[in-house]
Amino acid sequence: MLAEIAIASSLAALSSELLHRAMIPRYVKRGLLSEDVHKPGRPKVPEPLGPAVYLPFLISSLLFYTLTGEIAAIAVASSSGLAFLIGLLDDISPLGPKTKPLLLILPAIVLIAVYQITPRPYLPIVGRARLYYVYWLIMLAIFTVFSNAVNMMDSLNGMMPLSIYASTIPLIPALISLGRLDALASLLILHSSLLPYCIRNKYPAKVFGGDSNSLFVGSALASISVISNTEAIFGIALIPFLVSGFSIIASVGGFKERRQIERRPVILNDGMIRANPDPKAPISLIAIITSEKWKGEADIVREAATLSLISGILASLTFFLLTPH
Amino acid sequence: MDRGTILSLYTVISGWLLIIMALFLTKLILSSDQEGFLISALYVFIGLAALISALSLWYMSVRELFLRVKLNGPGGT
Repeated sequence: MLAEIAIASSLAALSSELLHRAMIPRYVKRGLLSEDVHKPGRPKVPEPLGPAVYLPFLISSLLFYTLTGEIAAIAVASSSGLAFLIGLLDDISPLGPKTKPLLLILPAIVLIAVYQITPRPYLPIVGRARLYYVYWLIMLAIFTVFSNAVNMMDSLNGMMPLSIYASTIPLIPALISLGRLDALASLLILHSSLLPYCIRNKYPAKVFGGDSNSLFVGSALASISVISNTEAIFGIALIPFLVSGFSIIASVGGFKERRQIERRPVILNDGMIRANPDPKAPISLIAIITSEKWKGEADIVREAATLSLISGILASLTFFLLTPH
Repeated sequence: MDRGTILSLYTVISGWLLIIMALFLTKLILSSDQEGFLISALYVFIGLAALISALSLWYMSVRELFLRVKLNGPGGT
């Protein structure tokens, strides 16, 4: 199956690169641009490039299914496809702060419909649990939490894709040791689809993915973790994402649209970023990183990616050393 | 390495410890021999209550440290 994974991943990277090249000039021509608010002069960059990441993922997943007959790739592509569409809707016309998390439960239902899920997650310390009653509720929560957490992490140039690579690459040995090559294939196809975007989104960004990209990536990770029963391990790997999302929600007192948040978590000064000195300002991962001194965008992203790498390694060690299987 | 970086590292490591502690608690609860839907629902409720309490304590500690670092930092570019 490794040859099929390599072929599908190569197709994902190649088609994503071609789509980026084709779409960026069209976006510029049609004025589909957004301001990069953290830079002096607020330069405008094409957004949303989510379709240039999701469509290659879908095509490559279909190819992988054709080559191997593994339904898991189709299940991941279809459930995360719904998250992509919700994100695209949000990019076109912003959804309410409470509507979006609720809608992001729907991809979980698609996965339940398409794939025969075994409600027996591998839990550190506990071992392989039997959660036949409560698993389905937890699964709905996993989808909306992962998708929103990845979405909230997509705030600085290259922060989301680099952190995704850093947190999920250390999980590859865990998926191999479980023999879940179908889940591994989806993860590697996702990595490959993201690569051309990551190159263009890193500081200084030439493209933005939009919610269509971040919600798709979060939902794809949730699907991969569910089909491989590694929800807890993925959860540990995504701790920086969850910390960021939870801190914002807790400090602003619930789900709120960006416009509804009176005080910004950070302040800007000539391209430098620092935590807002107002004690009532919301807490975010970026605010925590810049709580003591001003930092450049690239430095903050590097620190966030390093934190994600630490989480990814911690998750892998937790799986191999603390998870009975 | 400044205090902001150390604090962000603390949030990740303490978050991990929180998950492990919650699972350890779950393991203790699951070691009981009682079975049945109501019993398991009660266990899940207790487990969630413990997790939410621990999460609240964790958030309060992060917030306290964050405010301390933020308000006492050197400032300036």
